[in-house]
Amino acid sequence: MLSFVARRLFSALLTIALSSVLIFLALQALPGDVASQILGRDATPEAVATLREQLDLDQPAWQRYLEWVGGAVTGDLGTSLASGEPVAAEVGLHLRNTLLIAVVTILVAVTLSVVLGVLAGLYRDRWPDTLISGLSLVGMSVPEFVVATLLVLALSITVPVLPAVVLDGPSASIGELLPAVWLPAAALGVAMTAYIVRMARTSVIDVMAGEFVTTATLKGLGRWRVVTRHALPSALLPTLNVIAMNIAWLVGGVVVVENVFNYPGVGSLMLQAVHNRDLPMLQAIALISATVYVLCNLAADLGAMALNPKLRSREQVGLR
Amino acid sequence: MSGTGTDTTGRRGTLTGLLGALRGSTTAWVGLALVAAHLLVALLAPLVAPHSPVENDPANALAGPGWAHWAGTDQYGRDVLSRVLHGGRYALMVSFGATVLAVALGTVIGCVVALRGGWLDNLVMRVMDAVLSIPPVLALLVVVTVLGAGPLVIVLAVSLVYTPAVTRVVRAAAQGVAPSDYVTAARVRGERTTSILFREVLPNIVDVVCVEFAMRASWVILLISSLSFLGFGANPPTPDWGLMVAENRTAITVVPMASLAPIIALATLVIGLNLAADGLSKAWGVDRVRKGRA
Amino acid sequence: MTEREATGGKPVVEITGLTVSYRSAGRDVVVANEVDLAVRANETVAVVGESGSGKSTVAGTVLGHLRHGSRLAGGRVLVDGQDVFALPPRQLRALRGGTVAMVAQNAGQALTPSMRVGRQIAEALRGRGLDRRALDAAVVELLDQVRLPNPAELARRYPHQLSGGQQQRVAIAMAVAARPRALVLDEPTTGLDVVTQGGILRLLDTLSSELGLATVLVSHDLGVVASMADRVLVMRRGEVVEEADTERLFADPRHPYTRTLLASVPRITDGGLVEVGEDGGRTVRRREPVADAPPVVSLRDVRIGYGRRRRTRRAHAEPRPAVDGVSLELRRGEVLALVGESGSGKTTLAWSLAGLRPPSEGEMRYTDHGRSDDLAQPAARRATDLRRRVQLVFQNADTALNPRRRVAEAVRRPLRMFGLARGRRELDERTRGLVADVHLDPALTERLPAQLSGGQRQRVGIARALAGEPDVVIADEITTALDVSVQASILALLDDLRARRRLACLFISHDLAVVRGIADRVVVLRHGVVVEEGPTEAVFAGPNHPYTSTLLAAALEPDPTSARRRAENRDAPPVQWADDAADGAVWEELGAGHRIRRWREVGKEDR
Repeated sequence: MLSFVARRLFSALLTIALSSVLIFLALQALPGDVASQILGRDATPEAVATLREQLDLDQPAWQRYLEWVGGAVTGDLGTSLASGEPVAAEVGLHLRNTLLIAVVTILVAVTLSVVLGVLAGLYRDRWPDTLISGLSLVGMSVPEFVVATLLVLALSITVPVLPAVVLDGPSASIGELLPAVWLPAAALGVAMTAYIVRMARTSVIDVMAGEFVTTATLKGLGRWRVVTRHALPSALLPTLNVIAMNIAWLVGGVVVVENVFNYPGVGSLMLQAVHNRDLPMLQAIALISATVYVLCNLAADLGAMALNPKLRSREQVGLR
Repeated sequence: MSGTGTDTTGRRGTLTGLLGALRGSTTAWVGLALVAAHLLVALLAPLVAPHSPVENDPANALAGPGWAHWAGTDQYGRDVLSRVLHGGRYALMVSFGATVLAVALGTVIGCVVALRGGWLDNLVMRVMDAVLSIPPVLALLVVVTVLGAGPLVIVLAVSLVYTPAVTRVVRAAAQGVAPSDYVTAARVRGERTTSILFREVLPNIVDVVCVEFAMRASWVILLISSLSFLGFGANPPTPDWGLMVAENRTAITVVPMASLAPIIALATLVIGLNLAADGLSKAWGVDRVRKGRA
Repeated sequence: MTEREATGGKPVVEITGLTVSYRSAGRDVVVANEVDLAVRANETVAVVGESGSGKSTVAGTVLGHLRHGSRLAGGRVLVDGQDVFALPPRQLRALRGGTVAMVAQNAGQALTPSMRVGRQIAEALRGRGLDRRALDAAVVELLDQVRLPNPAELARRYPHQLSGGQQQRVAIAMAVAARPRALVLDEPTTGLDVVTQGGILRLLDTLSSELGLATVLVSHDLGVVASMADRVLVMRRGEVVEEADTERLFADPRHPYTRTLLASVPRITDGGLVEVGEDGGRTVRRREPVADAPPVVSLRDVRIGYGRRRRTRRAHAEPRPAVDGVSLELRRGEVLALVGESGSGKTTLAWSLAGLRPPSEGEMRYTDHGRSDDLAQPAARRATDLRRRVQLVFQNADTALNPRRRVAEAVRRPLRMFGLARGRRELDERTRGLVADVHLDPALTERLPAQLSGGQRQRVGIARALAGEPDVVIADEITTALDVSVQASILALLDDLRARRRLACLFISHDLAVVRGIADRVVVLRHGVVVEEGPTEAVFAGPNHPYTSTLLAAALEPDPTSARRRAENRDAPPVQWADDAADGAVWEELGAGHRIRRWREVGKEDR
């Protein structure tokens, strides 16, 4: 079991390392001279020279990569080209704000979707299933910006209960930001819920058709007990990975949603960085997203291992 | 391959078999019909649109629905209906290109990797995982920052971003087929890898690939619309649904149709693709939901 | 089995006029039609039939269970006087929890993977109102009752940590936990090795007489039925065609279907292949002695490992190779049977010969008229001509054919690949010839495999192997997945082809009765080691290696008298033995090529 954990950890680290190479390569692949590309056609030669200096462009690429990664490991993500501030501090602040949305979204969406998915699975092809499946199909078919726009129309304009845009800056306190969290969280939650519901439903249907569920039923157990004790542990295992995948996906979703609500999170920061061609900032955010993705999947795998006796005792069985 | 004859029988069997299974699937047909309708509209937009989609008419700006403009006008006085009819062309074209590329690449890589296994499989999947770990929106924004937002760049970038996900799905499907006795029989016979791929493996995963195509297309359209919404896809004044929502969002109280019409168009297209994917996978017994989201 | 009287009085299980159907493509398909069945306490009634006979459906109804989509179209099922399909849910649960229980076919899938087996058994004891400690004690007692060693420790395991036989014992413990009055056994030993099967059957027999159960036994295996049942119902396509006491049915089957069914079962006492006549008469085909031909395939000290060795610090973690030093020779025109339980390495050896898995040590050669090729080469590196000469037929014809290719295509491919026919005309002609050779209706050649029956698919599999005009055919459990009547015809086909084409055939099987019918020589494999080999008659006449004796003793005959006779002395403990082979003195020669690996008897302390 320990060696499984070790192997999984190693592979996670390897994936992060590979992603960092990909990110670095993508951003250094600007055609021509990076500095003059960033500054545009009208840049003065002096400005270009300063920027080259700032980006260490005179060094070979692999050396810059190593320096970047080395810095990243120690928490130094470089200096923003736009603001001249350290990237780490700025990203950290925005990350806190984004986490606020993410936590709310995850808590609500995951609970809701698992419950709905299991319900749909149990009432397969009857009206609760038809309703839930239909809604989740629509949920996964409309992009976040549409959901966000419709939510604004409904809850900020028609019935003005929640703010349509955030006026606070990134350093606002959590208390100040809290009222602004709900709409973005709802917008993000819709698609996420839709996907998890579908997965949970399929999984429940599969497991309920399994022989061990029939056996449990024929043992004379009540339906509730059959579902909770026998079916759900096996049914929720595969759902775990989809949940992890969706949590990781939030990082992408926030770009759009934060833009709609003008919410001061990582997504907005990312868009600013794109507009400013702020390479260090972009690199940092991409690396953090990749790390989040890998960590979520790692957590799901380890969680699955903890829940699945087959995986937990794999080593033991292998010996016999 | 030592044998080169015309053996169409097997291939015809695959196709008729797959289509035959579709006969009873209302879901699939409704979905495919929706998609077909959208394709038709996009194709015929220049002929059926009542106005030019880009012509400004300040005098008639922000008009509600009426005889002259069935769905009203936007802030520049452009006809919303004409813009919506034209609005799918960019997204459909770019999405179609990107999806075809991603599915084709992913299928080839996935099959080869599944059949070969070993270090190649390990290496390729490791790289794929690394690409997967960067959220698509983010990856595209990075690419757009570096290379600009031309349609070709977007097509290539989107297909690259989604190739790993397709590879994973196809690889899993091919791995399901690879240990089958009929593949073993081909190996014992001494068939080459390409022959095993095209004769034994691919015909048995065509269904998976088709479902993957429909599903991937829906994600690609969502992604591309989001990009347009953020201002990195179609350039104004090109009519595009995502862009239209972005432009008219602020005026939603004045002319709701200007935002709602492109939303409805976009949603019906994606719902159509999802219904098609659901219907196909159910009719063919392909496990679609398991693919999760990547 | 102990002789016991069925107590008179009311039957515990009483099925009358049971009709079950399901809807398919707008039509009602009847799976069970007007079935009557009554089982009293202390009685075992078997429901016998081939696949699709509806026997499992009938078994399920005793617990009020119908498969998804099926419905009760008529009749009723009384258990202990209660109409199970009319009971409200709460009472149905009580009935399932206490009065009637079921042991499903595949315990590996019937046990919940995420729950310790002890807790699963404890669940069946809910109704008793025991406290925690008493419950634990009851679980341990039950596990002990099903003869599982170390029950307290075992109760804490998960299903996947048990062997197939142990899983089935747990399932039985779970079924008898609530002291039911009726027990339904749905193919309780299918998928288990013969020796394990013997143990499970003995246990079931003891338990049902101890507890005075009314038992419904569903099986396709007439040997199992003969040894277990008091009365037998024969089902075919949803209808009961014959019902009789076991002795009468086996001695004097009256319905033609029962007669052919019984006649088709190969027996360990048959001196050759059985041909079943239209009327169900059996004629045993005399075995032609094989001319003493030179070997086509010869193996010397072949060892096949479990893939690449894993580097590990613990020496004992090194897995034992699947095949460990096997030497044998296969001659032209003979059928050599490779016999063993699952895990004996027989399939590994077959795959290695086919070039799918090179041996790690030893020599495998193909020799014919002065040529000699290395069979240790993987298929991809063998010469085309050698690949053509060695062909493999698979166990499961369902998966052996590409579901997207028509029959004609499947047969044509090797013809074209090995360059045996050129041009459309010749190809078609050869394909037609091959299809006729395996007695397949030519009209079926344009069908896809899914549109064929299991037996037809296996014929296509054989035709495909024959297309290359091979000298050597490796048949890996080719009749295991087939119904007995189909099995008989496939065996006859193989025998004909072997004679006509002078094939050398390596016939892999776990079924000694089948082997006796078709094989000229037998090799018994245990844990990758050959323990006995010799001409079929000699091996079946004995004396044998103790392992072979165990296999022979465990084989069940479709004959209640012999089964009962066997039952009487089966409580005699099997011989305890240890391997006694040494370098230079591996074999005990018994003459005429019959030899046994050296062994010695040991006391329990010695082991």
